[in-house]
Amino acid sequence: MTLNEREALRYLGFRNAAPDERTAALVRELGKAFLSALAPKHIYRKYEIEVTENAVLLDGWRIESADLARNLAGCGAAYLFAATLGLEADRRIRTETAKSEARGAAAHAVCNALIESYIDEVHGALDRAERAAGAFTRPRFSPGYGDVPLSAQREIFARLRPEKTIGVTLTDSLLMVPVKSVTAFIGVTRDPARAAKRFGEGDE
Amino acid sequence: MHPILEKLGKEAVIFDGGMGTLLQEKGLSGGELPELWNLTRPEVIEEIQSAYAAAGADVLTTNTFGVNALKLAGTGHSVREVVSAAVRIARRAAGGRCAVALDMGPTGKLMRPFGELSFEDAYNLYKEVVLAGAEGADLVLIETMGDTLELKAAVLAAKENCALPVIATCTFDETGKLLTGGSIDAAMTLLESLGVYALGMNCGLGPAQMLRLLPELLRCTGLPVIVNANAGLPVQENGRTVYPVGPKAFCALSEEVFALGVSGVGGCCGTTPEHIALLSKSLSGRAVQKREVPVRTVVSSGTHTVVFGEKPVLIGERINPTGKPRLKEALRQNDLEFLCREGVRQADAGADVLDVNVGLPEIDEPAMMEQAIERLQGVVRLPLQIDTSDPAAMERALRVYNGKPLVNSVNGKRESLDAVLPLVKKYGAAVVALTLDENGIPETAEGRFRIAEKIVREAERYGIARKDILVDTLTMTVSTGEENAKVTLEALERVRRELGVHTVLGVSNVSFGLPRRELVTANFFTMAMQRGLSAGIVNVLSEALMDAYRSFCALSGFDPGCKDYIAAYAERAAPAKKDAAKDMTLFEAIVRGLREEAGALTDAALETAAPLDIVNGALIPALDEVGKGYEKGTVFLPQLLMSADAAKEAFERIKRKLAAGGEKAEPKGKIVLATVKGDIHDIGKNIVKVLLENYGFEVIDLGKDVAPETVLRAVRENGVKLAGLSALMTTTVPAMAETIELLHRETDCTVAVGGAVLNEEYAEMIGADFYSKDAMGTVRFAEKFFA
Repeated sequence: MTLNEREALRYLGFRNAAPDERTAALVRELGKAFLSALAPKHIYRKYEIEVTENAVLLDGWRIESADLARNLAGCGAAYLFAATLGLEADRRIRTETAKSEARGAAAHAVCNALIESYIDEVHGALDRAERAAGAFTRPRFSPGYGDVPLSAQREIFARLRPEKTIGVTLTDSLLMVPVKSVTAFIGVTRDPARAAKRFGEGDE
Repeated sequence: MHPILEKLGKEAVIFDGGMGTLLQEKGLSGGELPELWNLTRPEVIEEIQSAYAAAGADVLTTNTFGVNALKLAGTGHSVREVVSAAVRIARRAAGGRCAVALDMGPTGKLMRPFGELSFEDAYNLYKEVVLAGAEGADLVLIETMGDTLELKAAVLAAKENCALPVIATCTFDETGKLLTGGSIDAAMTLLESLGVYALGMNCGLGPAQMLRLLPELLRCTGLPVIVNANAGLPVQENGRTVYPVGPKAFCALSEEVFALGVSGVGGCCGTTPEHIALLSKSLSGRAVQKREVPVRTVVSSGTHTVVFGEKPVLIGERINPTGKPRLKEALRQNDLEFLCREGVRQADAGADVLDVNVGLPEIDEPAMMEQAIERLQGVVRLPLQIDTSDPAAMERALRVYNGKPLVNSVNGKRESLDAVLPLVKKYGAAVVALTLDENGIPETAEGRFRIAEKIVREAERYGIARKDILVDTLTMTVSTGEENAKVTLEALERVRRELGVHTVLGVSNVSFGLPRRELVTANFFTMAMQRGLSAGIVNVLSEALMDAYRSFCALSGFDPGCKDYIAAYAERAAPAKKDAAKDMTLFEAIVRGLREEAGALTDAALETAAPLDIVNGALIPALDEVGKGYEKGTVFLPQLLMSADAAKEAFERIKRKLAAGGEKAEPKGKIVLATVKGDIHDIGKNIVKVLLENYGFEVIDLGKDVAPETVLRAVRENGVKLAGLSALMTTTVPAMAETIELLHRETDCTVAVGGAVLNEEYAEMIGADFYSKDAMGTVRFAEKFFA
């Protein structure tokens, strides 16, 4: 896991503008502290899947979603994947917010950038393993994107049980705590043209 | 007690192995609850457990790991039905020889303040399982726990609702941390304090990894230790999870585990009856290795422990309203953020433990204490000292506190001994003992020593060990009696030497009434540490005091290589106070987001100007300037927030000044803010709050995940005309609509909304009166609304 400062600054609203010195220094300071304090964790399992035009069938679970079906089209298998920065990230965000609002917002942004970097790494490792076997991974696709409802989280949680293994829980309203957590589908395809070009999220 | 449990600690006790992994082989599907098989396929469960019994397991665990009312909701089955079936099956498999352990695992929910489950909710989930399964079981086994607070709820639920022995084991990662970040020491200290029968670790790791963590665990506790490892770290093979350590290798490693002084050994995920059979053959009948465990005076938080008797411990004294009008005002207004800020400041300044006293005659102290403990434990990692004379507040705090707490205090009065000591025993706390009684504070060291002796004796009658008592020989003001400091220190030394207990002193009182108090306080602190003081209740924000402390540690061998000393002072060789604020106006300080300068300039301005003139003349124009820049896109969020932080500091100084004179700032209008039910994202709402407060509005912040009825109550009780609601997720917008509908039906309150998923049309559709795209928009609207 590394800190992509540009990415953290983007979360703070600096799209193309250069950040002021204090914000840049703050992002750097928190990034350094968080990198040494956080212990990110992940879990995944690979399933055979069947994809039709409007639905995906995975481990007895039929997911009605044209968007996910498009993402996974041509895939014979997919990973269910969950990752988290852990509760220490929540704790640190609260502590920084108690110090000042600016620090709190920067802590959120830094954590967002860190978890992106972490899941890119894990996704990259899965991709390398698949490539060794002549396959490729697709860009990640998370519940809440497109027409995949957040209620898909319940099914993912029932299969990965991330509560037990990486400490990620689901609230009644289907949000994850610790807050800096991600779940996703990652398709496996034999078609090199469909391989993820970078390990970012979304459908390219 | 079951004879097998009486063996524990003397002779090897064999626990059974994995259940869930075996059920998967028998066809349990990914989304299915394994516990329902107690009802649908009891013969499979019994077959597995009988195999474990035949393999030589002494303890069989019921197939109830994941059972609770939350997980069974919607299955059509009750906790009682599933649990009692599981106990019956295990009992049959046990065949009169094995002990049956009622198994309980994590709830699957995260506890407050980070998650949504309250302490009592968690307690009640476990209580239901205990009540359903205790009859017919020989012990309660709480396992695979990753959160100390949930662990505490489970242990209390077991102990308070049945008479069975309780064994609890936790899951650590390879670095020796719980999923919630707690250390091995923190988890074991908590369990030992709660009076479990045995403790240890299970799941998560294989025996090889556990072997590396066990020496640390065994140093923390004298109780029998149980180890149930997985069959190695899982690997994925062809889409299946495989545990790679076979029976032979598992048994060989478990022998090494046992040889360290572990009392009970079994398996967890991936282990099978074959693993347990080899284990039983090799270990059954073998005597447990004796081990020496040092007696320690220790308290803990959810993440780590603080040990007394090594380097002097600093207990931060500032969360205590006595003599602090601003804190009093904050408590009356339920402003827990102020409390959290005080906590974080002290933690940053080097406090090891924080004293928490929220006692004010006009507030509900037990309720405030509970909230304060919960909120503080969300922002600081330090153990807390629960400081109250109200037994009801004390018990509430002891219950919800995440860790082994320190109680401040008991004294030699009969009434105090009778009220406090049972609570200290029940919750396994450490306690500060004040050397005073019905006759007041003795003037002599001998008199104070006698009271200390009496308290120690009384505590021992309740089964509270000396290691859990810290005697306070009471600091008296030296300006009212020249012998006062001397008597305190003499008593301190005797107590330490003759009773063998640790000591604590609140030191600040010594200098009361004198000029340059910090000189006397700091020197007294040094003298006390020199005489063996274990902990000081001190103002860690006082530089003089911290100077004395760091010097003492460097000089007394507590700071190897003077590392802490150098870290604190190398960068600030010259103590010359900078006067950076000199060439700047308050307006500039806020626009530039310079917090310290804004505070200092406000203090200076308050010498001559009226608070309202400062607000209208500098604060608001500055915030307007920054706000306009933000709206134009020339100022970015962090800069807007830095200015808000600077303005907040200026406001804080104004409030402090007003509170000291017994006044309050007159708000421009009252606004209720809440993140709606189900939503746990509050960053947007918090930014709106800070800006509104800076513009002089009073904000009643209801926090996040707030039910519609709670918003309605706050609006009614405070006569509020404007409410602001925030929602970040599409799933929580219905809750926002519901809240708006309720407010409109029951009151004439105007409702403004904001949040990532909303836009103008959406807001109109759910009936909101105003939609704001950002925080400044809400401020502008409020200004117009209250104009």
